[in-house]
Amino acid sequence: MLRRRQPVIVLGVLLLLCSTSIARTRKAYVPLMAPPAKRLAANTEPRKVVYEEYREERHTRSQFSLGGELGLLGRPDSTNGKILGLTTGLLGRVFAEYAASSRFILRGSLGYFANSSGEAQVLVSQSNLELGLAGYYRFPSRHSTKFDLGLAQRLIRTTSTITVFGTPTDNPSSLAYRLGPAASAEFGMTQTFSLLLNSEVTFQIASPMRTFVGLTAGLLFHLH
Amino acid sequence: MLDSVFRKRLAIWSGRSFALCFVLFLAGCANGSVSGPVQISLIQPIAGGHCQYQVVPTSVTTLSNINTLKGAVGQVVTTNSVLDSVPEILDSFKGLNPPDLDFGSSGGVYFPEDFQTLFNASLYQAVEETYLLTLAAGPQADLTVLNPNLSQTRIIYNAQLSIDDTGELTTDNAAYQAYPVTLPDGSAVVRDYLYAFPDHTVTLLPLGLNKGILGHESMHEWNRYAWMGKVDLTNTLTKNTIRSVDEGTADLAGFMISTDSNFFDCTFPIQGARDLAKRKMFDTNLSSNIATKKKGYPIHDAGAVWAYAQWKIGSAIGQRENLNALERMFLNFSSCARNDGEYDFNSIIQCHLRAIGSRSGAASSVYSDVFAGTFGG
Repeated sequence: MLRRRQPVIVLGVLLLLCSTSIARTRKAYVPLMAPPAKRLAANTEPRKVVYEEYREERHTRSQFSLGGELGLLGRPDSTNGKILGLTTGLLGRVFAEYAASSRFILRGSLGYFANSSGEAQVLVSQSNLELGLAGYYRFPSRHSTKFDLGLAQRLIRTTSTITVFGTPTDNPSSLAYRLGPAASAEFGMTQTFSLLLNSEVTFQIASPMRTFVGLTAGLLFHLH
Repeated sequence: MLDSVFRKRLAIWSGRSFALCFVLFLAGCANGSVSGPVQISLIQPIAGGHCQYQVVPTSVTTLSNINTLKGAVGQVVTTNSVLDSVPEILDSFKGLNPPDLDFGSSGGVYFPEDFQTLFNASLYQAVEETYLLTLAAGPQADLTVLNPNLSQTRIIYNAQLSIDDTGELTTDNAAYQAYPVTLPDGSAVVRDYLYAFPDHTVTLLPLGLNKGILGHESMHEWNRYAWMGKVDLTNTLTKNTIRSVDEGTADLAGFMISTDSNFFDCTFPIQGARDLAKRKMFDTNLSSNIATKKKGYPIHDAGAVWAYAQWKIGSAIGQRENLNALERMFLNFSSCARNDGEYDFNSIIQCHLRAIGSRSGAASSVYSDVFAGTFGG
């Protein structure tokens, strides 16, 4: 039961961390103008900054971000699909994001997902290590919420184990490659943190082609 | 400046990366379906052991498409529909789809990466192995010849169907069904189905992974086309006898491909009731009403006695040799009828002894013991 609730618990903790960081960073905001005493000392007029200008400035500069996300990776399953006809496994990723321009984002990631299925005394468990690179187009936005649409590719190393009456047998590991569209929404929580929701539909390049659906949520930490 | 150089390099490597994807994409799409013979890593019984298993590469020779588990002995399919409620499914195969499979491969061996794939590949392999078992008796025993539509057999994974009078969906069981269909042009055809019903109470080896059970069900198909389908089952004695021999011979096939005389207990702990090596007698409970009980005759119990006799004879003259003799007998089954054209155990036993030939002495003493006092045997 606890295992099933793990993603919900982890997401809850992430959201809690997020709200904590909002509170802290608000206190640590760089003020728009120097305190009156310093202003007088410098004998300068405070510079007027228009909100929109500030946003535009943020968009155009190069930016590295680091993040982590958790979610589910599902494969359509005509017989045993439990969630929307999908067989699902837990997915976790850490990633680095680089905004090559105000409109083009590259996101490299390292992920892991696992699932297991079985009946009675037979269990097949699977673990997957995933190396990913995705490119996104960022739609123009004047708000702190940004929408990205792009192409994700994943190289996956799978190892699986068949356990019969308690005796496990490891299968050799295999490599697979998936490619497909991805979309993400980034909600700026503070100047430093964003909440990231990511979805992707990737196709495992094999015959027959297999479809995977990924839904994740995570946090993005912007390096300045 | 540094940022500019970095950006250029990043753009180049990103471009290369996505170009590589495209090449891989094309290569993946060009990779066609793989047909047999192939090696699939499956759960196999350890020869001579009881409920002992190992995962080993297993040769599957008759597959025409590993991705759909389709081949010379049938096709593994599944559906979410209840088969009783949508007659078109069994009438025309409509709505029966290949299961979603997840094979990995390495060194020329395919290995299932989830339970469903393991289960379905095991279904096909067990059916194939039974086919090869019967084929060893000679080309006249080839089920692809006896049943030219053998490749149309559907092996239904997770079948939702009621096979008894209760109307409740069957679970924890397997079955073979020859399903007669009248086509729109008025012609009659038979569709062959092997059902693997969902496991609800099995706590040991899942049904579909027990080769003995699938071997048992597959043997019913061979029996039907080789001999049973040609017998008039109007007479109660003939019907009960033939159906018992069918069940017992199916148990024998299950034993031979699982190499475990008590393979039933590896899935259903029934305390050896179907253990072929456990001595059984054709007692008065079985013999007294075989000619009169039109419905509900215990064909599995009578079949278990027949199976024990076969196991015992096989132990004496060789299991393979005995099965060959049985198949020869079945392929010429009309010669086993009594003078009145009906069948009973005595007429079939005499027929089997003739088929064994010079080594029939050992078989004769087994039959005398097992069927003592029955039909003057």
